[in-house]
Amino acid sequence: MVEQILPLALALPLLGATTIGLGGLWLPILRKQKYLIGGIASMLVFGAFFLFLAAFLSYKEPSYFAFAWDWIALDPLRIPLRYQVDTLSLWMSLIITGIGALIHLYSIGYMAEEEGSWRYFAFLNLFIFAMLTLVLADSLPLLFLGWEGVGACSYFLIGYWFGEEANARAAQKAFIMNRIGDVGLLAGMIWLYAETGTFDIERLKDYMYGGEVAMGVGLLFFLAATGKSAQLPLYTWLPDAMAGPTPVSALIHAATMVTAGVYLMARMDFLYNLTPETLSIVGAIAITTALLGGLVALAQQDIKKVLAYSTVSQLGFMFAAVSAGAYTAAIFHVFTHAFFKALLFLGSGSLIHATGTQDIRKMGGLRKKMPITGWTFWIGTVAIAGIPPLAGFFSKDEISAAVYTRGTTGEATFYVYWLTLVGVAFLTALYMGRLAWVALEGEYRGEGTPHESPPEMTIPLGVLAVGSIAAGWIGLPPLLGESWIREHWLSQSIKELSVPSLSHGTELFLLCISTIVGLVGLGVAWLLYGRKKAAGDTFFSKHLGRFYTLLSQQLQVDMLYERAFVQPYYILADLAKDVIGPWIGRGIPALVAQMLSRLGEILSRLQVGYTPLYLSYMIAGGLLLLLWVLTG
Amino acid sequence: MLQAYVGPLILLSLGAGIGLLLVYAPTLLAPRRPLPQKMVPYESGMDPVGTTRQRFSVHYYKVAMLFTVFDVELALMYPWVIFFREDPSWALLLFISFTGVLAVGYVYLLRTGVFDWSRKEL
Amino acid sequence: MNNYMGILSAGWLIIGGALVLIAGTFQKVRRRIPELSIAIGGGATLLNGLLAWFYPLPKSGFFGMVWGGGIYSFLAAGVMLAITVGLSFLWRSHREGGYRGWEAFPLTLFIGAALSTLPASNHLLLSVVALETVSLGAYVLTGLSWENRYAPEAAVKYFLLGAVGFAFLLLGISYLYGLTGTLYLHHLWPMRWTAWHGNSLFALAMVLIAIGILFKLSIFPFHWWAPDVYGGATPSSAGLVVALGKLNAAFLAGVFLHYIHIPSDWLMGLASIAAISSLYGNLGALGQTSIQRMLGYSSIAHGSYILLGLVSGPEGRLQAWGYTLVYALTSTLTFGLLSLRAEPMEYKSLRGLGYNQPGYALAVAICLASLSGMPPLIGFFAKYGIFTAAFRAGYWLPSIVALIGALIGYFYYWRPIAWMYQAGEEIPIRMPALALSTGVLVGLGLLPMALWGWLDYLYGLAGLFLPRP
Repeated sequence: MVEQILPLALALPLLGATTIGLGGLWLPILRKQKYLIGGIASMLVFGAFFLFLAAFLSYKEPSYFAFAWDWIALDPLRIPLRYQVDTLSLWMSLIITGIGALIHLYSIGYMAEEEGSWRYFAFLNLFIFAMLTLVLADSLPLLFLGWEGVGACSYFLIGYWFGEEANARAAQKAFIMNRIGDVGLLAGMIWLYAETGTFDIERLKDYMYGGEVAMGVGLLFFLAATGKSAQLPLYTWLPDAMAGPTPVSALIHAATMVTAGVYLMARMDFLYNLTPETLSIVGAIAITTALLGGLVALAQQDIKKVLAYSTVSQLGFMFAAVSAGAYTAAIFHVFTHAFFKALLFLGSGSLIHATGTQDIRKMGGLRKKMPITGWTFWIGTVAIAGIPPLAGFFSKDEISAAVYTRGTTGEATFYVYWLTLVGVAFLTALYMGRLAWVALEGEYRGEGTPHESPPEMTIPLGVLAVGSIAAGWIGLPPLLGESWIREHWLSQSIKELSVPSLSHGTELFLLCISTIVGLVGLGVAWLLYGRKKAAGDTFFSKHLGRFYTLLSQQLQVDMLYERAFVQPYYILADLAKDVIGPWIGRGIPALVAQMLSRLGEILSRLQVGYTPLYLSYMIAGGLLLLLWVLTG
Repeated sequence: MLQAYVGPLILLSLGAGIGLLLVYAPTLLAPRRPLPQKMVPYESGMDPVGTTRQRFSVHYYKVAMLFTVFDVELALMYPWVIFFREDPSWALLLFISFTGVLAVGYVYLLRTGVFDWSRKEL
Repeated sequence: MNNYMGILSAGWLIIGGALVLIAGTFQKVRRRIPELSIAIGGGATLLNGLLAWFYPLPKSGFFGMVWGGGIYSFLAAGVMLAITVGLSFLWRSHREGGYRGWEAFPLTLFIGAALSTLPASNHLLLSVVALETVSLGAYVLTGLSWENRYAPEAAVKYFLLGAVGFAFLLLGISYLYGLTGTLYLHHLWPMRWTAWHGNSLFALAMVLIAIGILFKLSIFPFHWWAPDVYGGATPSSAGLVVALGKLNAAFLAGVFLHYIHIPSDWLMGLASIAAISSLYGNLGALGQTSIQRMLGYSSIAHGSYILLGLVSGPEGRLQAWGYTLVYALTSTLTFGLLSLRAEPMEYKSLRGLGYNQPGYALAVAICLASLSGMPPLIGFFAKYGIFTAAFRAGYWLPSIVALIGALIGYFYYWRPIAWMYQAGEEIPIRMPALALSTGVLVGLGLLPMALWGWLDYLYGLAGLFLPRP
């Protein structure tokens, strides 16, 4: 029953995107109706959310919905338009539409003064559609369609204010970085097809893979994930992507799209379970990314940059969970992270909206002036810092427990990973505490008098704050109860790497470590920024010296990439222009073209335009045909 | 083998014979009083003397349509009569729809002034 | 309901066309005729689309003379889509021309009625009537112009040669009737055709029918009319005329080849003719300086790809039908878009269009690129389908030769595009083409494969994949 209405849930955002997009394009009068446009876009996404909620409540077993005909029918390659609804895809769909709907609502207020908001809402709706296609797809090409679709929407929305060159450049950077990763997805897809002869994910599961195929494809898919989910070495687009409107940063570049890589690896669990070596490589990159993100976040003054690096770091956490084979822990962190990171971004959007700046040095004291934004921002901060009983604590603890458990199976490197993760958890609490104390407490240092945002912006903040508090309770650690999400929900569609369970003592130890690290991080932040009024930055720059400067310059990775990749590419392009083009490119083809053209001219001289002649040619041709048939 | 073609051959020669007979019988039987006007070959009322590359009115296509409306309709009535005996109500419905389509053509011709023979431009 | 599915759309179009014909004789409503016709054509597209959606299994009806629903409605929807697009371009040219020759609108609707019945026909008499209705309409559409003095010449040429071609076809069908004693196509299916294969009368019938069809497809050596007619036709309707001929022939030939078993060496011969024709058409198009004449020559090449598909078994016939629908739509769009400009159809006049009218130029470029078979446009998938089917049917050499022809095609299709993106002075065109080019982009870029899959699915349901008893 519910399966029959799910195509509607997929169609609603697409309907919104087309009607708003075409309506805005062709009927300029509509562009002025900002509340109407925003309202329609939000209602459609809310509608999709409720449909998925209904499907969730009545969920019994995995099912499919499909169109009767195929998307691509080039024999023997047949790709059906088929979507699978299992616990994983349904869960992701709920996150996408739920958080997406709230952010749509928020955007009505945030974009109220924009001229081109129809464009914004059309792309936002299209993004929801593409993301749903990605997670619901039952075959790899369909998944790829969604993957590219979200990439395109991300490109359009980062470059939403394309009037400024920096924004357009940021959009291009995101697009190109993602393409590098996409090569991995495409190559992996083709490799799998060559090996198995199918693109169907369910059928891929039953295939017996050789070690090198599993490892090769696994690494290629991980390359795709590093692009989309901003891991080393392709993460640099994400901080730049903050050039887009803040709700976009919240939805696409924090809560949903960037988690697509995690989703891909969870979906491909059967490949990764075969080769733990691949997972070790994933782990090394994930841990490095998490550490790097946490360190750089500490030295940023732009509120959105801090949050962007925090996202990079948190994505590192998710991939660390993947590397431990604990895909449910990764998805669980995707879930909780979606709440508090969306909350933090929307809160920062509210602050930016009120103060007109993104520099935290020009904020301060805003909790008193904007109580709802201020308090919800604090809730998000505490949640991401990993203080029980808020959401971040449970998912982070599950990740660190999973990584620790992998260590107990004899893989000693995972102890190192675990230790680093604990360090990054401390850093998380520290930089988030810094952000909250500098931006929200103390005296206001900016211009004008900031006011609280309108209700369409504060309501989503409230809902997300409730989520940030409570979202973690569905995944309690074994010591405290039963993890519903792992035991009763995601385990139906994800097969984890089997590891021994921990003793209660170890578990208690890990829980305590997580809690203490979070509390200490916040405490240090209070010491450096809360008590002594933003003295922390001078403290760090005095003790860390040049390293701190390097951190505030984002480690100069962009310049490194410019030197290493972009400049050689220009040299190659010059070579093609000056040498290959004139000599090889023009000479030979020109000769062939000349010859063919002459032949064509000769042939077209037969065409004299005299009807009786044509008629006799025809009769002659007919007679020849008859002769051939009768004799041959 | 050849015997199979005897029937058609007889038919062919009969057809040719009757045709030739009808053409040449008058030259033997009929009285002949030739006049210059009578000796001119018949060209649908046009002057056959002069250049062959002359223009003629495109009015003709509408006359051709009139011919279709009034003549083809009649030709189709013969098979229709046979069918009428089998299923009268169907036959009536078919004929009404058929003449309806033809009537549309007739109304079009009427409205565009095809019966106004004196009109030059169309 | 099921019984009348096959004539539903034809009835709608004939009644609508009659209405338009009467309405047009009143001076006051004449200027509303184009909108009315487009609405009727669009309605027929929608009607057939819905029929194909809700009745995927075709049903025979109306004394078993005509099929309805399923693939037949799908094909009719495709035909009506092309015709509606053609009508909307006619509208533009007529608005400036003061509605002289407004008869083109009801005429096109009648053509639509006949053409959408042609593939669904189960009776040879009905097929012939439908075929000739379309052809007669095409002759008139070719010459219906008061500005272009080449158009009437092209029309008379088309009519004269077309009448001869049709006579061949009719003669062949009468021989077939003499051999089999039936005009119902489904009676032809179960016949033991292999018994006929040595029969010289059967050979004569088949050759005559083949001449008729090859003529309509403009295959060498029966193609002579094509460059003159398509090159001289009224620009606003030339695309439609090209499309009509190809659709006519492809539908009739597809149905024929489904019901009648042709010896395989004859099919091989047809494939070879297709290969020669591809070379001839593509080489001939190379030397042209007028876009319209180039497209006229290239129609010979497109006819050859269609023929190659038609002879390549059931799957090839499916691909050929799909290809023809795609070609019909793209050529109508290309000619229509080009006719929006006041300038002559010379390559030179396109200079600088890409900078002055970017949306319009992009639309034209996409159409031309799709005709050339550029991935990822729909034209590529259409060609891909044809050539894979031909390879699978074992026509290696003809396919390779035809492919070489298609490669040459890239050169002349991309030449106008190159002209468009060279600097030049500003020339205004007759309409803002943004809306149109958006439609072209969506239609040609995004949806094609899903529609292809749908066609494939319906083709299978209609039993057209079935082996002969």
